[in-house]
Amino acid sequence: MAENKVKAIIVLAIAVVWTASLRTALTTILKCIVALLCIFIIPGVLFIRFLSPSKRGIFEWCLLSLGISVALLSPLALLLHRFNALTPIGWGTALALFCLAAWHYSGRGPVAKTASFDAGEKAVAASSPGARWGGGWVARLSCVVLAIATAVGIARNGALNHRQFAYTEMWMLPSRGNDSQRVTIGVRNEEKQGRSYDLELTLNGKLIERRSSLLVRSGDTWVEEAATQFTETNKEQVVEAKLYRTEQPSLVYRHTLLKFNHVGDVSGTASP
Amino acid sequence: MSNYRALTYQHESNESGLLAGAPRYFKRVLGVGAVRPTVDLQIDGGELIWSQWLAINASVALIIAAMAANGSRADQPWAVPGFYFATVLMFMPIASRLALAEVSRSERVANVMVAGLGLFMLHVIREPTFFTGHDEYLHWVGARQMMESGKLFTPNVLFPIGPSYPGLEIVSSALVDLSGLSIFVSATIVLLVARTIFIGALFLVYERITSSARVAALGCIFYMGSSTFTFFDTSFSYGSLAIALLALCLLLDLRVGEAASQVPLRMLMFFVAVLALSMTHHLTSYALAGLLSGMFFVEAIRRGRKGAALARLGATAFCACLVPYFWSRAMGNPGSNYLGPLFHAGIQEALAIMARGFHSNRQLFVSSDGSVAPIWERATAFGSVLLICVGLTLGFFRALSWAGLFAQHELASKGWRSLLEWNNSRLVLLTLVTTLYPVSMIFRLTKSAWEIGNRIGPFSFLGVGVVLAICITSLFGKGSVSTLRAIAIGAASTVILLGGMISAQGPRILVPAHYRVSADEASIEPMNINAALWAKAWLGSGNHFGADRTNSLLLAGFGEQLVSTSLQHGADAGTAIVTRTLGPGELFMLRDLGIDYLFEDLRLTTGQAVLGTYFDGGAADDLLDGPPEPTALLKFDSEPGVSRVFDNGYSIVYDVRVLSGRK
Repeated sequence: MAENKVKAIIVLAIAVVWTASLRTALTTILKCIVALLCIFIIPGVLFIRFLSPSKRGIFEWCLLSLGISVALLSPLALLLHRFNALTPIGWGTALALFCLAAWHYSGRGPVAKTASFDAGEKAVAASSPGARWGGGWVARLSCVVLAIATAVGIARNGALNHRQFAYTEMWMLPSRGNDSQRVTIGVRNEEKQGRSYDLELTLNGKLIERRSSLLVRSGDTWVEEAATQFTETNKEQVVEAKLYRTEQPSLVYRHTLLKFNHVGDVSGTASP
Repeated sequence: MSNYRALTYQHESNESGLLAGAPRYFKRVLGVGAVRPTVDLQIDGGELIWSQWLAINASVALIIAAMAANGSRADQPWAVPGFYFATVLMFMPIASRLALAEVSRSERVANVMVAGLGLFMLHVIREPTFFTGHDEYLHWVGARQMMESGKLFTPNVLFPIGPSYPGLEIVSSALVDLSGLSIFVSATIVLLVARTIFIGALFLVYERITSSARVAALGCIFYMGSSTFTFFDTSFSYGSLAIALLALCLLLDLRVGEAASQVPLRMLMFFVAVLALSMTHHLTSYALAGLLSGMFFVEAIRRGRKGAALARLGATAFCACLVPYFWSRAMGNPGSNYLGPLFHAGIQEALAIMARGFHSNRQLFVSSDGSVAPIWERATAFGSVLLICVGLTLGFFRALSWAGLFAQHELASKGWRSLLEWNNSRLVLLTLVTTLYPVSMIFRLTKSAWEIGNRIGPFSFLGVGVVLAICITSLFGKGSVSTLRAIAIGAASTVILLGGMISAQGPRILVPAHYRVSADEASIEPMNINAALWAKAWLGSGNHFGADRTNSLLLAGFGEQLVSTSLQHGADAGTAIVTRTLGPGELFMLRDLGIDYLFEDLRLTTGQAVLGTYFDGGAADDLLDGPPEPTALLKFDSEPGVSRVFDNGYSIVYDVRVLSGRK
């Protein structure tokens, strides 16, 4: 009866992981649990059941299940590689088929009916008194989990909030599309506070556009297209964008430039 | 509570025979022939109360470690000592507890797992949001390329040999594909599983070989003093999974050797594990082949060997040699090109150092930028080496005696022939493996091959761990009820652990508050991660970039760009960045490599490279004898056709497609 239950659970897990590989609407947590079981536990359990049912205790059995599961993934990947199928559906199918095959044969494998514990293994198993779980272990284990989660949370929070540099990104790229004389200018504020900028756009040194007191909040990005009219055709055209902080209008804060060898050479295009 | 079955400990004082001439005290100190295996006390597993409290203690230590990690980012002087304090708080009580004789096997297993996984969590605390290690980016890119292509062996410009050994990427990408987690989270889970396998398998291997759970647990604790254990073998790098598979293979080899039946089936399991190892890491698979071949040889020369045991050992050794060999051949033998020059240069330098009377050309505890480790760190590292050396000296012959060698009565009656009589070939071999420890130390003195010394470490510690454990168990077999003595043993093993951590990481153990040039975890920070993300968003994936060491990693990892490397392309795009003027040679190289963009980090001009190289150790680094000049980096502003498309005040992206003929 218990055997049937185990088999039913395995079949259910296989079905779920295969469904998960199809990217249906399973929750992430469920997908994670099923994926962990199907990658790290079930293949090894079934493989060991098929090949070598004798055990030396639960610890060794768990460890071998874990280890063999990991080891089995490499030969499976070689198989999937033949079909360019190292994909979610490929993994789901391969693991499901492998587990079904191993399960099918685990009840009738070459050693399943006749295998017995080795004499030495019996002795070790008998001489290794097992542990018991007292009533307080759930509370203590919860403390451990809580403390680890707290530690990781503290570390994550610290790492995410650690920013040595306060800075502004500026970029300029030829715009995408048929209009070859337009450029895209972007400004991203990572100064840890809102900033006001002045922007100056020149073509071959002549001012063609100026934006003053451009307010960008911390973490925000400002992007705009600007038109340029190339006038001289036989000379390198230079579009230059200079960014100033409003409170320091004489100091160039960021500087980008695009050079075109001739009119219409805008093969590099902006694509956010 | 306890069933005191038999605790045997023998000191023989027979002075006749082969060793009769040796001074008595000398033999006593070294333990030649003086030790026979002890039998563990049989203790009821109980409720593992101690393990649970030790786990709570370890998790509290993790909170302190996390606070120290944040303190380091805030430039607090207490941060690094605080982190080491947390390590001591976590580790020492466990080690002390395991030194006691009256501990059940179940508790030993649980405590060893708490220690091993607790140290793994230190790595998570140190790296909680994204990869910070150089090698991790190489494998990250490999895993992503594998998932994108749906195939193995997709070329990886950052790491040409990587696709030939895709084991780690296979496991990680399988988890990413099925769970939907990110590669970073999946990698952390895979490494946690690998660590669990490694600790568990190592415990079982030691236990099988020595027939003592106490020795096994102490062996694992001493193994944790290996310089690679806490951080290197927990990073997302193929060696981290490979060392776990190595331990698994050793366990499966033991299962093959002890089986009364099912040998072919157990061999099949062993074969699967060896195949996985061969697909994961070259050096570790060669190490397994060496270990099992060595065990076969030791068993073959043993007097009184049994044919069946030898045949089984021969079969596993044959398999362990054959599978990596054929895998390597199938991959075009990339390992020899990769490891060959490294070993050649390292051995040459090591021999030169030995000829000079061990005067190293590499300054210990001094990084390339001149920063020196604090004195307490240096003292701890030296103390660690000293303790290991003393332990090996006292434990070497004791371990051999534990294996049945140097039995005094046989020495007396049979003379030298008795030197070929032992009953535990695996333990004899592991004891001999400890001789690699001084070799790894010599390699560590070299500039060109300190990394080899670092890589030998995990294998030499397979022997060091068990020999130190036997030393402790045999020296303090009867008297280990003393809590004070257990604390002393715990303190010694903690010093060994800290020494390993210091020699591996030194003052760079935590992410510092301030950026440092070419220092991996101290150079990888949000500003340039955002620059790499900008490249992906605005330039698209797959552009060919030239950049320095750190930004190459970020552009390939976060930016999904192709970066130029000397290793893959044979030419160094960095030379175009660092030369004062662009000459025909640089222009030819840009055209030859097909460079689209150059990423120039002006911060490189602010200091010496902490890890010794600004780029990838190729031609650009050869051109530099100090930081590159700012004018050299900015020369592209006046270069016709070159656009300056990105500027964040510290880094600039130049579009050089006109120069490389890509536009």
